[in-house]
Amino acid sequence: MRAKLGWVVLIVLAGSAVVRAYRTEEQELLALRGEIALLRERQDRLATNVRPPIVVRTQAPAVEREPDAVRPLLGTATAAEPDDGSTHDPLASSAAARAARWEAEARRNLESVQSAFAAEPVEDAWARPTRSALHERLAEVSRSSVSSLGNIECRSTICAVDVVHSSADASRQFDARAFTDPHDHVWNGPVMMTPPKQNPDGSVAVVMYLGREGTSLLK
Amino acid sequence: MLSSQSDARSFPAFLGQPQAPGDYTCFVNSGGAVFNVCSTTRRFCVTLPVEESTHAIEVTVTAPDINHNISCFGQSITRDNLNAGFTGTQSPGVFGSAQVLRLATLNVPNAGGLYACCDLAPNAVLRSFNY
Repeated sequence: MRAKLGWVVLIVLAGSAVVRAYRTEEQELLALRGEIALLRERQDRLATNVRPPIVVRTQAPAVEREPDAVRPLLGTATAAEPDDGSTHDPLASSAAARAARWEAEARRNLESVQSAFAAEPVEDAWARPTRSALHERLAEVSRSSVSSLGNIECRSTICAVDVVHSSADASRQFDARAFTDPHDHVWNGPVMMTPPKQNPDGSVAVVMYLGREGTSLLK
Repeated sequence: MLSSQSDARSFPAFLGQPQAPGDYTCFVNSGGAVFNVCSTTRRFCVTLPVEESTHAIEVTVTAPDINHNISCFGQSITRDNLNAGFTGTQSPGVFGSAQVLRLATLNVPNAGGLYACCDLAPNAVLRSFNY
């Protein structure tokens, strides 16, 4: 009887060991499946992020020239990059060069008129009545636009007028009335203004060069 | 191909707009030319894009007769719309055919602007701008 019981216990113990081993294998299998799934997911992610290889062209094909209309805008675009390591933006430098040329040309134009005025002899027959008429009419315009008329000097073809406008708007109002009013403009010759000088009180000072009608201030 | 120096440009008058917004119905476009079909004189202005300083504007116009004339002037401005120069006003002395008004040369400050305006009597025609 004892021997039988011993056998039964032995068989039960062996069975439970087999069941435990099977469960362990099953768990390991599940864990392995999970790892494989993770690996596959990583592989897919890597494949998505891979970029095509970069091809460095040492010589542009003949058919890929920039259009003629674009080339002047690029300016020095085909020139070598600066070797100081700084970033060179050809479009920006071309625009800056154009702005500098424009600025210089505008300044030269103004200086040429100032020089012409300074060099002109005074022709009394024109200068006196013109100055007088200008003073009278510009004084009237300046009153309506809140501007202060300063010195007026006329020579033989050009008058120089100093004026201080109470504001930028007053300046626009004064000019519109004096030079472009269809019924009552003061002066019908060419006019050139110095760049407006902004005073601390907000007023704007300008020198106006008025050319005799039929002449041109810029030659 | 564009040159580094600015070439002459031309625009039909249709590019512009009336000085007073209420005058749109007064101006009729025909082939790029603008006619004043209202019964009184109205002003029409055209902006002239620039990339450099010195500009001589030519305006082609037709006035039917001396009582229905057209007068034009050019104006340059700074980048903040202060005035930099005016050409003075010119009108044609010959009527019934297209005439070119040559306005005085203007100086446009760097980054400033240029435009021209014309006062058109009834039936006067503003045709084009060259500068």
